[in-house]
Amino acid sequence: MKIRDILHSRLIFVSGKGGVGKTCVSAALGKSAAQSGKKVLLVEVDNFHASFPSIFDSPIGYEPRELESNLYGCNITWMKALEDWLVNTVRIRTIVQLILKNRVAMLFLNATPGAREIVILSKIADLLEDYDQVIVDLPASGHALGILRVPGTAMQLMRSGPIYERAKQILQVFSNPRAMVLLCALPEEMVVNETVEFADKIRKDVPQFKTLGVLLNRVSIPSFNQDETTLLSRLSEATDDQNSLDVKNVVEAAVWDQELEDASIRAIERLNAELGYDVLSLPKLGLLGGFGGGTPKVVQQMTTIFARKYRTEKS
Amino acid sequence: MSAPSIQHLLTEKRLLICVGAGGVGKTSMAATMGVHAAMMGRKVLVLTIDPAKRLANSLGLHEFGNEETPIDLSPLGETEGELWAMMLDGKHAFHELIDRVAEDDATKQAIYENNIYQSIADTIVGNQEYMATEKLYDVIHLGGYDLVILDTPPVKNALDFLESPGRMAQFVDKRIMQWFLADGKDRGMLRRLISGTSSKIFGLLGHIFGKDFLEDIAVFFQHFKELYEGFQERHQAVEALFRDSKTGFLIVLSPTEPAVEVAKFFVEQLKIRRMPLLGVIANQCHRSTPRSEQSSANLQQLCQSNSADLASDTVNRMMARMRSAHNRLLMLQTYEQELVSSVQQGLTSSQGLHQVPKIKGEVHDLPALFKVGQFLMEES
Repeated sequence: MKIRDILHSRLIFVSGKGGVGKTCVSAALGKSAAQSGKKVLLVEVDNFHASFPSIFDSPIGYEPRELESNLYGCNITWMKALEDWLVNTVRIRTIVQLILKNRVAMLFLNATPGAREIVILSKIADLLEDYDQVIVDLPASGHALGILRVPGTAMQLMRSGPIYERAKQILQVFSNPRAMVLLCALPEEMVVNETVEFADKIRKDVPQFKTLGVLLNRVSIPSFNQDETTLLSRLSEATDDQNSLDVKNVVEAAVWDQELEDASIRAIERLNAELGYDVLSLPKLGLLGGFGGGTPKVVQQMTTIFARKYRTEKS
Repeated sequence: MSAPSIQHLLTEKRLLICVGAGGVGKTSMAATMGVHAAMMGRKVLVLTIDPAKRLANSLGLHEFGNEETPIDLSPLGETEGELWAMMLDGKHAFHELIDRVAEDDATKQAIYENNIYQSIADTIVGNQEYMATEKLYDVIHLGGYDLVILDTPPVKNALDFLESPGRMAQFVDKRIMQWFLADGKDRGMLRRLISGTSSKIFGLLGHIFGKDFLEDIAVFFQHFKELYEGFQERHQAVEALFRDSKTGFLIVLSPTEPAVEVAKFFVEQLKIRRMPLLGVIANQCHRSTPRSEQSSANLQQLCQSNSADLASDTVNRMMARMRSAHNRLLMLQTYEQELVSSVQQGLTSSQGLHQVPKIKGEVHDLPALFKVGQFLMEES
């Protein structure tokens, strides 16, 4: 997969296992596209505790707000989206207010399975009209799958009516060749396993998506030569039962680096084999691939890398 | 009052709930605490929603499912305690619930075939969380365990879990039920309702959702009406359980900015909800010690004596590499400690901050899992 395929998409749903960097990747993709002149919207989904504000040092709300030049952000909250949805469906504001003020009706709407997801996805589909690109920072794997499956289920469930029609339209949006699901992963065995499983489930349960990408984050580039590898394993063995803890600590620091490189190679091989194409990767950033240096800085670094990859692909 | 140790919590509490951002090792922490509590002689259940097969493997199982499964602790030595593990599967647990409560086979069948039921069982986001609380009620009241450790689902909006019992209970709220069921006769409820007081709004909802859907819901509610009392009761019981003095929350974090931010958010939210926070576990903290000049010299010597057959620049390259890797590790450690101590500021003196160092490789077996927990047991 090429970075071009992602940057040229109209709609990107970003997900993956918890803690893999979904939000940073979403933000960096948005910055990259915005800097190339596109009008981009970053979306958080009904997030009680929005994450984009700490990256862009700007609050976000239901209405899109400009975070940087060409780059907008919003948090689609259920109640506001519901109001919008009712206004679009019923068309008469006083009646909408009647529904919103009726306790039983609200209990019903709040609790009706799938209503939340349909209403939010519907809002995303609407927003698509005003932007060149919309990037949705979905929750972690299981919940993301739950959200993306709802339109299909709603169509089976409703059989007719406005929700049925809306669900159908949302599935049409999903099946646009320029809509995609992007899964973020890390070079760790457990994360790679979950990513592969998740990709299978998306293909099976939401077959409308024509493009499914994986972005492997925090990859260590191989740097140990053969002799260094040999020496390091000898040192590791020699210090195994050594009393001098600080000698051992220094050796271990290098062993750690090497293990990350090996894990990265394994993850790339496995993902390439499972997906049938070359997975995109991002190097580890910050201190030892942690977040050291601050999230906004990491996002900035990612953005620079995306731009560089894009230029390389073009030339 | 000083903060209770993890060991103390594992002895005193009946329910421990691990919460935190995704990817911080909540499941491993829940499992390792379970192992230690069992080795201390308690009968423990670890309830997880994370379908990570590795966890099952590290507990010595191929995988475990919706049944309470005993874990063989013999690799760790003798104990009078027991460890059980269970992974929650929302759909399966929901089936079980229906089987238990439905009056007869015909009712059961009718519920299974109902569209609404199928969608709740299959798709509905939040069902996992709801079933977790359902199952929690069961195991606490019927399981005979001394301690239950619950690993909450990896949700971005981490509060979903605390709120989900309410969401499902709302769906079967009495007022909605009455709306659909009127005086309990089985047929014609839609027509009757449309001529009733709520007719306007009901008509509107019919407009929005489609009449077929409302019919399905009406049928669903009819079958579900006997479940209703049970739902409410259990929902209240679970809510009360969250605030019980033998219950407590442990926030798990890894020393990264996003995870620390989620942890702080949890500290605040638990306070608002008056739910007992017992402590914070900072997992995967890098640990190293500064090197002395003497140790650098020792290392240089060690490199030389091990590289006779290697390219001549290998020693220098390796020394530079090790110095740089070690320096980065020390910087990372300093950075992480600052992050972690920023969580401390939000804690009271009775809420401990416990640290677990990052260990090399992944946890593959019971002894390794036990070892991780030993860091938690050692009180600093």
